[in-house]
Amino acid sequence: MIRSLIAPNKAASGPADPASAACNRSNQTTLFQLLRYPDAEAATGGRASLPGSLLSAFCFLLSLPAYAVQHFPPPDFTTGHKLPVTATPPPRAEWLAYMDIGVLIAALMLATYFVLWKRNRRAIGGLSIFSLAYFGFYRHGCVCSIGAIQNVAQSIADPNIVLPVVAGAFFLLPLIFALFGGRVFCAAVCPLGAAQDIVLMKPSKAPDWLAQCLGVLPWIYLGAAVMYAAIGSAYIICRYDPFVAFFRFGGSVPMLVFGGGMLVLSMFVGRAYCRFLCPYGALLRLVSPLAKWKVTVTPDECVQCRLCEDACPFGEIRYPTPRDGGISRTEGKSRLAALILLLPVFIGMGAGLGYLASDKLAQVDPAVSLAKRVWLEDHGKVKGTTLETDAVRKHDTPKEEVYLQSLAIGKKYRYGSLALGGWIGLVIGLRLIGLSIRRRRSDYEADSAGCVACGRCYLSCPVERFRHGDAEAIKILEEYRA
Amino acid sequence: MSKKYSENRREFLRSLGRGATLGLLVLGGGSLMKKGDKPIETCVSDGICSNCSDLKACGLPQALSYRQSDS
Repeated sequence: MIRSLIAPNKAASGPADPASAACNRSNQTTLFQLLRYPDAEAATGGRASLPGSLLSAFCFLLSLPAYAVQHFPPPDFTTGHKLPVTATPPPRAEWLAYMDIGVLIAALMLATYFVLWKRNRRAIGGLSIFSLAYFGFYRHGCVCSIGAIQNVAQSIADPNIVLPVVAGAFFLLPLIFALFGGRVFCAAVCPLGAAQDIVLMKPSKAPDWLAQCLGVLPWIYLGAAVMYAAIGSAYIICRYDPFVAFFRFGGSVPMLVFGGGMLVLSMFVGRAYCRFLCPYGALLRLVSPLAKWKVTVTPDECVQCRLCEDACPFGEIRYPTPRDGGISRTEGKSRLAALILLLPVFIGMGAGLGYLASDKLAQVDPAVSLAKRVWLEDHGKVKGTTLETDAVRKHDTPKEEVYLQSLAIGKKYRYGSLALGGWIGLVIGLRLIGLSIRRRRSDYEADSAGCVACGRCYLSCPVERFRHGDAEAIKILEEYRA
Repeated sequence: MSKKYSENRREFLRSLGRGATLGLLVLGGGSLMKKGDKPIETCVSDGICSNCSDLKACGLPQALSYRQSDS
């Protein structure tokens, strides 16, 4: 049994990875020691064996990909052709995929417990480091909930495509948890959020108008990702994931630069990707206001001490509304009515612009861009050929077929771009309507849609600190209660 | 009294929304994942059944005859 743990199925994995082999060696030693000196833990007071056990567990995890199943092994080329190195993670055995679902459920449950019951920032931070290590570096950022949006979209659009259980679970579970405990997934389970949270050093608050404008981007990105996946052209969320190149220790130079830039930006602008780009965050934003239990800055009654005002690096703490501030009620009502009446105009304008941009948007599809390139080469508009156009000319497929396929896809894009443009118009219109609705608040509250449940605001509240027995907090509370 | 009433109403609407969303997610997700159990209507393997991973679930005539001849 132990032997099978130490040396997993090498035949399935092909040649052994040196790093994995080294890990297996250390794993072997630890298990051997445990067998030979069963009471070593007691002798050392448990200190020496704990890191060893952790290392063993880590090495065991590293060796698990050896169980991967390759359904169709690559052919042996006699021409000397070398297969390019794949950028995506290798195939994974079914039970390991189910293990990922298990880890996700456990992490979500722990995150909910740490955020809502324990209210412990340190525990949340610890869990996010684990998530970064497991879902990020160990699983190479795949499968992830953000990318699973595309699987769902494609599965809805194409009746022949079945949603894989793992992708379905990764898409659904964080949303289901958000219905009960808010954005606990963002808090400590998402590796992208964790990567940005760890590097956050000196957060600066973005001006309100800028944050509101940029807040529309995730919805637009979501619409574009759904359109491209539904047509079957590309998974743009995965293609432009800023951190996946780091998780896989390799990627194209532009993506490494983009990822590096995003990390540098995240040092000064808290969770820039999560707030201004993440399409899954947009979905969670929609669902989390319905949550049964929500993050509250104070565990008890708010004493209006204002100490939490600047505690949130993401600007998601909402202040109490002044009794007689802002515009008059009549003016507010007429503005709201005008915006509601203008909503169809926004949608129509967006749809029109989308329709006009359909040809440009279709260029992402490889078949469309290939047909265009072939046409340009045939008409002498560009010089030289590409590997793809050479293949078309050498292949038996007539060029007309390539053009016809491109036309068929182009037709899909006309409808898709129309819908995407309408969606963008709707998003902008609804954002403006949302801004013109006045909400009354008597306490300092975490925004139920935007709060990523990181727990940073907890310890700024003297009521919370009082719970932990902080003497200074008792003084502050007495002062404010007096 | 009125504040309490409005809070109750808000909470009621929220739980209604939560239930509806939960139902939609579970049923929608379940039906998308369950699609695999239906017989496949379009060939994904260029008519070659021998290496097809979907052969077991395939309902196309060619797959039926392949399965028959194989057994």
